[in-house]
Amino acid sequence: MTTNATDIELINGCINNNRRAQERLYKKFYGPMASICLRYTRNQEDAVEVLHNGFLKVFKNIHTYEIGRASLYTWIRTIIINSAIDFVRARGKFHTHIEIDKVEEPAIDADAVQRMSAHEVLMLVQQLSPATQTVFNLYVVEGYNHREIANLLGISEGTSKWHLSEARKQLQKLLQTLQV
Amino acid sequence: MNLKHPYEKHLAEKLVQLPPPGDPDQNWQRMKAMLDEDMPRGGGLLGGNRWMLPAVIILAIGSGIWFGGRQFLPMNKGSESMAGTINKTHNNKPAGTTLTNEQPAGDVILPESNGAVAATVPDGNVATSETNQKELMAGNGTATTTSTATTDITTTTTNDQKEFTRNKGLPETDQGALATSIEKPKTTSSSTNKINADRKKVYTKKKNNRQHPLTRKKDDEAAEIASIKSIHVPEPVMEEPVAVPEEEEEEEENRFVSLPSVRVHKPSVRPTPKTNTVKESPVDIIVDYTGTAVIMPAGVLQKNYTFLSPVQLFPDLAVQSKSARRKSGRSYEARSGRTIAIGLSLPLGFPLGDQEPLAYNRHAGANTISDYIPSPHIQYHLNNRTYFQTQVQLSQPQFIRPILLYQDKTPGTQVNTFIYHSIYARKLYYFNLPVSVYHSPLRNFYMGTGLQFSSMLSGVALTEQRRVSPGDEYIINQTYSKFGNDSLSRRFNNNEVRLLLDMNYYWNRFTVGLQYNQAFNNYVSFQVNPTSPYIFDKNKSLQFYLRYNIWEDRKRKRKSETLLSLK
Repeated sequence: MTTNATDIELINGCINNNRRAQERLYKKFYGPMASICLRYTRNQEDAVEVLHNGFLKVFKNIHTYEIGRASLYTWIRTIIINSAIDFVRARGKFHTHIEIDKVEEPAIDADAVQRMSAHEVLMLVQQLSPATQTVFNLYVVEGYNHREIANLLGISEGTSKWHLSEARKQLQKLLQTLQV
Repeated sequence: MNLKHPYEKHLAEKLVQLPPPGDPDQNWQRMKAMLDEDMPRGGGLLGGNRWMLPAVIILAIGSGIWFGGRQFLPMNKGSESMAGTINKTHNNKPAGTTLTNEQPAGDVILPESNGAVAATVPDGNVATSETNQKELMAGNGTATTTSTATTDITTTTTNDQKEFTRNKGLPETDQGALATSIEKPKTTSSSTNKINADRKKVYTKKKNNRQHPLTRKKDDEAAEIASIKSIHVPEPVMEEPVAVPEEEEEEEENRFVSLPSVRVHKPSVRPTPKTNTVKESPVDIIVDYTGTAVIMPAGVLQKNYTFLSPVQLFPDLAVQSKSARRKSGRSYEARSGRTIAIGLSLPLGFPLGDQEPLAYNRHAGANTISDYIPSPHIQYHLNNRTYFQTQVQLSQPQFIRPILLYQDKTPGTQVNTFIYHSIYARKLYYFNLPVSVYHSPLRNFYMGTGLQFSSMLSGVALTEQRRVSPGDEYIINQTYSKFGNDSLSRRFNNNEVRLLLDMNYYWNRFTVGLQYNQAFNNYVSFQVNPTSPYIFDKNKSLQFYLRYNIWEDRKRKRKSETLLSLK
């Protein structure tokens, strides 16, 4: 998703604190950003809260956005994810130093996952603990590696790996429960 | 590199396809509420909402009308003072009431037989000129006499009544028939309507029909004089009510339930007559028709007069009256005296829209007293309603929204951490030279417009160092400094022309007002770097000011009159 002339117009309007431009920008990116927030939170209310906190940061700092460095979507997405992380961090503590060398990988049937709907998958992920859910999302959905996750969350790489392992274990149990 | 299991790829795909929660329109309202709280659009005045400017304008206009509305009071007061005591009468009042007994001392109530006003004084000396006297005497062939051996000075208000009749849309013809109908009222029902209709005319025309055509014109002139400026008699002693002969009284009581009041007024100051033909009397006799009711002999018709006082007909006279002068700081009428005034203005600026106030002075110091240095102004008054003004504002603060002038990004010590060096313009200082013209739609309330040349002198910049890492953002350092005549100030358009809109209230050399100005062109329009969006903005400001005219040119004015305060 690249930044086009319409986006530049929206950016200029948002820099001028124009409500109309802010509304257009908000509604344009509402869908994908709200989905991101939903993945990191437990319910819709929390998701909307994270979304609004993120958009507030977007509108306050949009004058620092540089068109050439990244697309507007990427820039906003980064801010929204950071807002979600802040939200999770405010609600609970991450285990900062859990050093594990070898992670046990549980076996999960891919076909069973593929048969599930998006909403069922979401319900599954939302049953993970918040920190584990965050790490799982960052690793599996956003594509961050453990080092980046560690920098983002202020935890060690081992802790990140542990959370991912925990996520996989919990998902396996949950899937087994669902299949039974 | 992260390694994903096959099922995780399916999970990721399905999580990305999640439908968004809630309704965007509904959630935008919450978002908007947050924005209104955290990023208000109105600036610092009145909570920064969008109703600020209309509210200020309405407030200013309302206050102008409130204060300016006093101009009507002198007219009303003058009406009362010139028309004398207004005696309210009721139509059900007995016809035989002795009207003279009800009048206060100093007022003379006389019946009159033709709708005209008769004023009687005990003294036989008549101060009016011969011509006037002739006119006056000729004006009423049936001047009312008194039981004493006094000289009657009688006049009519026939002309006024003509006008009144015309205003009411009543025809002026059929006067002979009217006279007949009055003297011999018919009692048949078929003729009653016609009689009633005709009777409406009779009170204004009856006596004129009886006059000689040659005397009618003189009568009208005399009536004009009398009705406008009242009758002048030599002696102001009119303390006792004048008795009315029984026959005449009885006759008049058949027609008037209540008679017009006549009052003698002795003005303290009378203007010097311009010609020698008319000698001014120190006494005014004032007639008030308000509330006067008439009953025709048939007892069918009652007619209420509406008295148009001289003040209502000729407001100029009222304004010049003493009471009017006392009530107002300066009269509202235009005078041709061209005057000059010099004074000082104390401005107080407010941020508008997205502008942000900044409590730093032009040298980036904390003391902002220098922002309120009074500026000199000079006014050239064409008359009391229109004047020109120019002013020199040597260093006027201009609030702006933070403008990013420069930004540099360097990597930090940690991974994915960057240090941003940013410079924001936060406040500007201008040399202003406004030229404006003011006009007064209401007394003491002026509205003005004009142009202002503005040249930027300097500004206050915020230099900021910020460390940004994913999820975290810290301000390392913030400093305020002055900029001007450097690379930063060259990013601004230094000179601009602005449109001025002004409204103020002037009283006794003091002026308080609101001034709004907006530039025609942008003061900033540039890109911080080639990849960043354009930044552009126009200057606008709202100022509350207090002015005081230290010196006013009084040479061309009369003595004892303040030049501007008596406008």
